[in-house]
Amino acid sequence: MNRNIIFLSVIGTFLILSVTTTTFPFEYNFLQLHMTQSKVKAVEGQVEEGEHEEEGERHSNEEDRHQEDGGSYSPLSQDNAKTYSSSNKTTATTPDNLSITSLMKQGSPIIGNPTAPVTLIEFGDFQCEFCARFAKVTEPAINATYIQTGKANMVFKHFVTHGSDSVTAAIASQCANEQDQFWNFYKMIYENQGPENSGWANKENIKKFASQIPGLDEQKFDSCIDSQKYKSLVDNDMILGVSLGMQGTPSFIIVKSDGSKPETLLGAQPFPSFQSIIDKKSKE
Amino acid sequence: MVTKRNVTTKVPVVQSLIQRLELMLISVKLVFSHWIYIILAGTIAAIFWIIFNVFEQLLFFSPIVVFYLPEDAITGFILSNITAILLGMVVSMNVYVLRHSRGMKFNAASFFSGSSIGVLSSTCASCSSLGILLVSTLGGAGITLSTFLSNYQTPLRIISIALLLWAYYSISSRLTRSCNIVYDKSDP
Repeated sequence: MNRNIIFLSVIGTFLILSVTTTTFPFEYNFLQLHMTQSKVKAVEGQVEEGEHEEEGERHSNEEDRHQEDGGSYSPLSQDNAKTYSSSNKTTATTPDNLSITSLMKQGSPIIGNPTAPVTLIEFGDFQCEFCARFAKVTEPAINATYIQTGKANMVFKHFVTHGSDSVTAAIASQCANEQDQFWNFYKMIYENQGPENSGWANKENIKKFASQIPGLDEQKFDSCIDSQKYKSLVDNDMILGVSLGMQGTPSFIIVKSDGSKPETLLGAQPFPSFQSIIDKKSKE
Repeated sequence: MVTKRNVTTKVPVVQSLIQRLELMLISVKLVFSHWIYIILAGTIAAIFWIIFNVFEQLLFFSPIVVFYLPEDAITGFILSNITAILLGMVVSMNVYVLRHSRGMKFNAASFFSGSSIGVLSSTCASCSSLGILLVSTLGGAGITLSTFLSNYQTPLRIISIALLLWAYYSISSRLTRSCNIVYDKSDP
């Protein structure tokens, strides 16, 4: 009898713990819905601003060049979409600034018109199965309805919580972004996603996947991964995600183009959920 | 001769299996002949259906109430439905036993382990805050644990269904057990 009681207590505690921890994000979601940009706390341990001033200037020039170049191919739908990929720079990220200009300066991959009134920021992990679900099911609908029509743009931020292979995949994606191939890489990786931490996303396999992307300079890509060039960018994205209260993947923040009025969406929600917020944001 | 022997040993096994299935059905009829137990089972099943589908990221309440079923989630959805229904039935039958039969105990171990495994396996641990909690408290071991929970979702769900079926069998056999008359030998 005593053994049964102990067993039941252990199982009960575990059950309560699992229920409370997994439902917590929804409480947070409620808080985030009412979050204003000014209320977001500053990130601790950020890279000093001066460190990247010079890079920032160079980066801005590259941004201008991109803007002049105009659109490129969208891998997420069969149609051509206007995409914008800023060059990658390791800059300090602060949740105080979620404007599209700031996000581009941070080196985050962007798809869609940079002047669109609404920005959808995805916090994802390439090993996360729900992120793959979003990429396969919901993202194409968002792309067709809002991104290709210039009503919104989308930014990807790394929130790596699934182990070291996730970090490798995140760095690799930034290496692809360096060659304006992030969204091809994004599609490729989610379509080939394997079981978590089974080695499918290790350096060698990532290089194999990348070799299938047309137009990607393999040599440049491989040396970029080997040097872990974008490790600090991924770390900064992670810091940003944590400071914004992200608890899991995928998580989304939808903001106006100037970074104001952020609203959080947690989970691989279907298209109508995004539609309700983006439409509301467009009218604000 | 060998064939005959096989036949004679198989028949009682099949007969006993059929008998047990019949007893299980009788126990269901016995409990669910009262509407209160049907409501209780339905409520429990509905609560767990919501929990499973929220964890599986198929059901959302914010910003709008929405349910969707993408292709990759169909297997998990079927298994979680079976688990939710079994949970409803087992809880209801246990309540019936506790209310009507003195001295009878319900198979708590299989019920609670089945239900907790069912709940735990219904989420992608690494994708949720459970993963963050495990990683932040247990470090590398947390990653291993959350990876295990994420990668073995389907087998864990099947185990939870098996445990709940065992709990159901156990409770139904107690409900339909024959009464034994114990004679007092000292009594002339």
